[in-house]
Amino acid sequence: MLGHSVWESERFAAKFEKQIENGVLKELKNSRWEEYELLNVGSKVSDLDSDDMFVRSTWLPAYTWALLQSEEIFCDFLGLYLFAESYLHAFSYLTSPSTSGQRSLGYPNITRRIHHLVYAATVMKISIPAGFKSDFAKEEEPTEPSQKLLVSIADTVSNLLATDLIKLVQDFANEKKLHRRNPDKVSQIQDEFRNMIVPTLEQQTLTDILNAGWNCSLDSDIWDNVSHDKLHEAKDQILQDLILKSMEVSEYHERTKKEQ
Amino acid sequence: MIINAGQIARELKHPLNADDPLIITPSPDLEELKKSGSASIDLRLGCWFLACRASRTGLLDVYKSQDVIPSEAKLTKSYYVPFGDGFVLHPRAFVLGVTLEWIRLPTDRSAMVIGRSSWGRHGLIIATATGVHPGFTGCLTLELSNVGEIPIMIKPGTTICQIFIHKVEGGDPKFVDQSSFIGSRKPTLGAIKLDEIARLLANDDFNNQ
Repeated sequence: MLGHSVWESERFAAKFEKQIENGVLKELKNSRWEEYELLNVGSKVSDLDSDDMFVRSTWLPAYTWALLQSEEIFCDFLGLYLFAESYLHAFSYLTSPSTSGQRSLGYPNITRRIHHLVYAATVMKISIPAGFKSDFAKEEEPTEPSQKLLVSIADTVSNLLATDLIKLVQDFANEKKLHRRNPDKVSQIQDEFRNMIVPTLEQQTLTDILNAGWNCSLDSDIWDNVSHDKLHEAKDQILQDLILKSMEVSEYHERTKKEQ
Repeated sequence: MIINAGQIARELKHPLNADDPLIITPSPDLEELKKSGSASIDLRLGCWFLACRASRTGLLDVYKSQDVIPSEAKLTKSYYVPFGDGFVLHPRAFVLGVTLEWIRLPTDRSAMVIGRSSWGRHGLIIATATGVHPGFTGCLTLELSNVGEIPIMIKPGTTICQIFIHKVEGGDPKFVDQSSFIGSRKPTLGAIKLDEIARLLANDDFNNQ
């Protein structure tokens, strides 16, 4: 939701509309013409550049899907920038091995989404959790010929924008001075969760709190020093409390700081 | 022995035992505490409230089998009140609240929570001396009741109660089962546990023998 709100409020779609339209037409003319012609008998390459609404309707879905896919890629990249490793953990937790049924055409397929995330994580110097890539199963592609062709074109076009979208996220984050995950802070919060079973003592950022929470959640040895089964049974609930309370403590510090 | 607020401030800043510290977060103003000369620390009201659903339960009978006692979710309704917003406690209403502060007691400290007299004089009664055991970690559930004649608005962040911290002598940390004292950030009703003696004494089959 956050990424979509940013995409909407900053009118980022406008930056890519022309590029995507040109990309779709170029792909149709140069690489997919034979398939297109089979589905649209009697078409001529020159027709594609016309404003004829009937001709436009034959390729417009590819444009719409490429634009939607670009927005989704942007959202993934922004989520990754903001929440670092914790975004990848949450992504895996929520979507692996796959959402059932055919892929959603407004998203890159899951294989490509993972590829983009791994690429962006490398650029942003974010560690990729072990086994992340293999957590996901392939999604069903559409079988209807026209849809199959057009979504494949949308995939190709949105794929070419990945680098531009990473840069867009980085520029936006720099302009807005967005916080990035700080490994020292993550480690400090993690120690508070792990050693004392208390929420954070100071004001911390959301990303540091979430990353500390995920690290503790994935640590099977956590609270071994306390060594009581009841603690391990309630691990998720306790961690949830510590994470949410840490956010409340940080809000408290933020609000009282402003009033000084 | 009750520990003076100044000493508590020193313990919060420089724990006596780094592996088993006294923690209060968000922390009170330590400089103010040192100067206060008080024997207690004020605690603030948190954002969560738990009220009983009066219409759902005819009678709370804890002597029945645990299987037929309604669950906490059925008995109560939870309310989140964000900072800046308020909760109106009407006359004769009773609600559970929670401290804003998360407290961790070392294994050689216990505590007692009581209301603040200034609120009490306006009709707001907070708990009946809640005891907090060594090794506890969590937010403290408060029992809030308006025994006055006019509704009272309470807002998260307000200082609502005070905690007295005691030194526990002669205890052995290894007998502190910390898993029993992990609190939550929300108020909880908790179960009323009857021991074997209470069960035997409450058994009316005995009267019919």
